[in-house]
Parts: sequence; structure tokens; C-alpha cells
Amino acid sequence: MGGAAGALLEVRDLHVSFDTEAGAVPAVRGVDLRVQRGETLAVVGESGCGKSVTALAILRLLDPSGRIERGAVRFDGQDLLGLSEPEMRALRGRRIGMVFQEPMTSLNPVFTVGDQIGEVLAIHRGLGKRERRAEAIRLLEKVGIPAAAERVDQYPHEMSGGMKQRVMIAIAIACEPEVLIADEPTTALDVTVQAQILDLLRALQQEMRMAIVLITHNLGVVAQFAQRVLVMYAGKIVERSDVATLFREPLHPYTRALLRALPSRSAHAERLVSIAGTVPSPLEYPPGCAFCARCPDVLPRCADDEPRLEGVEAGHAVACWLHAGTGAR
Amino acid sequence: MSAAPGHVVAEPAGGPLRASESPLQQAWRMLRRDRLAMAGLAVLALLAVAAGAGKVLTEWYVVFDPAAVRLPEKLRAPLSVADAERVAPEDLPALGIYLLGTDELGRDVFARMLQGSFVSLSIGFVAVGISVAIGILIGGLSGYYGNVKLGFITVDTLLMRFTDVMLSFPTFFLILTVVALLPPSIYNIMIVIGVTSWMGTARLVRGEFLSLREQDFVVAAQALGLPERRIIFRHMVPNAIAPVLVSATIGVASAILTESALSFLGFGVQPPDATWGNILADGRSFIFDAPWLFFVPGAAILVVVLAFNLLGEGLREALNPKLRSR
Repeated sequence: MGGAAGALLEVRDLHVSFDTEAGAVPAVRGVDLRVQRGETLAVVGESGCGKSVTALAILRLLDPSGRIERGAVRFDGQDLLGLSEPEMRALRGRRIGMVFQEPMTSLNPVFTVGDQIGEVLAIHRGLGKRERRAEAIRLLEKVGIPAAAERVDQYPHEMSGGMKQRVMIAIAIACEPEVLIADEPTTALDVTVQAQILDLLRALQQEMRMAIVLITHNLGVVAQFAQRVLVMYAGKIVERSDVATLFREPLHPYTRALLRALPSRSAHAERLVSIAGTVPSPLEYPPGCAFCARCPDVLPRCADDEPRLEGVEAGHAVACWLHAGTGAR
Repeated sequence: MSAAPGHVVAEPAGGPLRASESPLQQAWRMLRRDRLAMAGLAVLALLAVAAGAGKVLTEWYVVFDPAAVRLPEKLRAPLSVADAERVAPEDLPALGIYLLGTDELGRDVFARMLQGSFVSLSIGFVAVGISVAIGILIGGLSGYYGNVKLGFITVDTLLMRFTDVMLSFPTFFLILTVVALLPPSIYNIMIVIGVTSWMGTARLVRGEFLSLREQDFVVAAQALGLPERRIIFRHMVPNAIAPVLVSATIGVASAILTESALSFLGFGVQPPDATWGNILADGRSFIFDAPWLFFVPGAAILVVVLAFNLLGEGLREALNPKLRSR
């Protein structure tokens, strides 16, 4: 696996739980991740597996009922969990940017997009009014919005979803962050617009040497875009790999099931494949592997004994008893 | 700066761009189509002019003297011509006519109404200003920091139960009590009405904030590292302001009514200063001999309160996208 030295963003053994009436619900249960400068790491998993919570925890934006129980988040040598709130604020939006899933609602409806881009520029870069406007237009051009000089004075409701997501990206990159966390950036968009947005992100990444943490449930997006992948299930990482290896040789039964569930292009009018069963409730995670109830290859020990994430070959690790001890770590 | 390949947007630009409209401009466009609301607005504009004129012409350049007592000319009917032989020349009304008649001391009712319009309007606006400020503060804190625990209860519980306590006071009697204890000045009345009428606004703002908090743009603003103060006041308050504006408009009407009621009961603005409430109170003993004393301030209160309510109702529709598609 990638060398620990030089990791720009590193999360170690992160545990997050939410206080509810039914008690503390674990949402993230021991996630490790490392991102190097300029690379793209995809975090894949279905809804509720803890991928968005991980992202919010990195920026310390969990709502008050969420708690980071354990773990460390290091960014460029700093321990983010130990920073004061003002120090954290100075980092958010300036060195770590974030793009959200819903462009329709992520912009404030009562301000023009120019004002909203300008706000970040004022706070993190201290630009004056005129400079802000010029810079906002430049950023809109950079994210490929035509007639930027006119669009800058428009309100969000006057733009399409793809256009708004471009604006969100313009805001996120306004301060040239070193890491961009993109939480399902294309999920709410049409397929054609999705491809444009991914192309845009890739071009910006190359230009600015920015690391991207791409959170998605769409393996197609992963294949197009990422270099390395983490597969999450029920708050844990079940497989870690580079993209090519993952698609060639998925090891965890969950990853395999996900890949099987991708609609194939050579559809012989067959039914779409789904994964049988449902994700266990966070209140009832079994002591063993959380996937055991749905796993086609379940072993007797799976229910009680939890597999650890173990390397099977360089850069490929899996948490599954089927593969335990098969590789030298 | 130049877009890399693949940057170009395939979506059509949609022809020439229409001039951008802020949500407030849109609401204004909607409001202009509402005849009743515009009638209300016209009445209020007229009232604002009258109030301004009232301040200037009865206090600074005394054209209409509300305090001049002309005992020989008492209880003259509206539009009657002043009798120059019985009244000192400096006490003659402007134009020589009592536009709205005189009261039992021979004071010019028109001058007193002018003076009163300024008092009524300023009490309405200042009291509502106070109540909206308190309401936004309490409702905003409650909605934004609702989950934060203070010892054994949350901020939300603490503030909202306090609001409930305030709501369960019979407000008018509370005001009467406070006014009985404090010297009855116009400022005390503004403050008392303000601090006893913020609860509705607080609940509205709390509700709006609870839903706004979950909105992506608030989380996005946090992810951009904006300070909380800025998120609350610059991003959330403008989005929560529409229902507040509606309730404030109607609130002005009820503050004017409260002030009139207080003055009517003698706890409000004290003579010789005129307000619509105390003109009404004075007129009540002459209801058969001089009905204009009763009718003029009563009609003024009615029309103004109605105008505020119509405008508020129009605003409610103009500001609520769901009601727009009529």
C-alpha cells in the first residue's frame, strides 16, 4: 500500500457515532484512508455506509448529534481534530474544498452567484469588491460557464443543475485548495451532464495538482475517474485497491456483488441483478462481518469473528475470511 | 484561464439572458398585481405622508396647532368656518376652517389627528421593530443552536419554554400592569408593546431555521469556512425573512390597536399629546352631540389597520411561491 510518508490527508481508525433516542448509533467504525497530493481516491458504498459521514468528519462538520469517538485526521502534518474552531474555519474552503451532491439546493437562493463566489474570496483571500467580481468571472470561465460576465449577476434559480454544480465547483476551487472532497458530485445530474462535470473536475485537478476524494455509489464514475478505491460497507472499509485491480479482480464478496449489479451494455434483456437482503441496521451490527447475512460465500466463522483489513498483494487489501492469510502483507 | 478541452458546456445558453431578478424583486412584481394589497399600500403611503406632515406642521412649524384651546368654539362640526370675532387671531385654524371640527375644548380635531398619526405610526413601527428583533434573535438562536445542551436541557427547550411562558401571559393585562408601574410615555409604550409581542415571530423564525439548518447551502457555507455569525445573519436570516415580514406587517396593525386601546383606557399617551386612542376616548362622552369626535379617529384606526392587514395578506401571497400560481 502507498507509503505513509508524504500523505497529504490521512485518516486513521476513525470512529463516528450519532446520538439518537435508541442510543449511540455507530456510523463509521474504524476507517483509514490516505490521499497523496494530486491523486484521486474514490470512496464507494451504498447509502448509509458512512462515506458522507467520513467526509463531514474530516472537515469537522458533523451536526451536534454526531461525535468523533476515536481516530485521527491529519492534513499536511496537522492534527485536524486538535485544531480550534477558528483554525479549522481558516482551513475549510481555503485548503480543503468541498462539493456537495445537490447543486439545486447548495447555493443560497437569495444571492447572485457572483456574490456567493465573492464571499469566499473576501473571507479567505481578503479581496476587495472590484477584484472579487473580476475573480468570480474568471472562475466562472474556468469552470466552463458561457457568458460568465453576465451569469455572474444571475441568481441560482436562473441556472440549470449542471450550471449550478459548476458554480459550486468554482466556489470550491476559488482558493485553490490542496484537497477537494466531492460528495456525490454528479448523482443529481443527467448522465450527459455528469460526464461533463467529471471532465471538468479532472481538468481542474491536472491544472491545480489538487487531490480529490470522490465519494460516490457509482462504480462507473469510479472507473472513469479515480486511481485508488476504498469500498465501504456498514461503516467499515471492506476492500482497498487501485482501480484497475478492483475491476479485474474484486476480492470481497460485496465488491463482487456490486460489480455484478452494474447494468452491462450487452444486455440480453435480462433482469438487473441486485444484492439480496438489506444492510443491517447500525443498531444490530453482528459481532462478525456485517455482510455475512447477505454473503453468498459465507463461512461458519463469519458471523462471530470479524475479519480485519489485510493486504493480499501490493496495494490491494480486503477484509474477508475467504482471503485471510492468502497474501504476504 | 482558457477552458481546457472538455470544458465547453453543451447545454444551450438559452438565447439572450433575461435581466436577473432577485427573489424580492419577483415578490414585488407579484405584489403589484394584487389590487387589494396595492390599495393598502396606497393608504399606508398616504398615512406616512400625514404622519410626516403631522410631525412637521404641528410641532416644528405650527400650521395646525393641536393644543390651542378655543372654548367659545367648542364642538363645532367638521368643515365649519371659524368665527374670527370669538377667537384670538393667533388661534384661528389654517384656512379659517375646522376641517374635522373641534372637540369639547375647541381644539382642532384635524390638527390633533395629524399629531396622532405620527404617534400611532411610530409606535406601530418601533414596537414591531423591537418585537421582530427579539423574535429573530430568540427564534434564530433556538433554531440554530437547538441541539446544544446547557446542563440538562437544550438551548431550544430553554428558549421555547420561555416563549411559551410569555405566550401564556394575558398580554394586554401584562401591558396594563407594566404601564401602571412605569411613567406613561410614548417610549415606554413602544418598548412594552415590543417586548410582549415577539413570541409569534420567534416561533416562525425558529421553524424556518430548523428547516434551513438542514439545507445544503448552510452546510456548504460551513464547509467554506464562513463564520457562524455570517452564516446565521447573512445566509439564514434573509431566507427566513418572508414570513417575518408578513407577520410584522400585521403586527404593526395590532400594535396600533394596542396603543389606541391603552390610550383609550387612559394608560397610554397622556394629554395634552393627542393620539387616535385618546381622541376617541375624549369623544366618547359626546357621542350624540358631536359624533365626528368619535367617528374620525375610529375610522382612521379601522382604515389603517385594514390597510396593514391587506398589505400583509398580499405579501404573504407574493412571498410564498406555493400560493403564487393562481
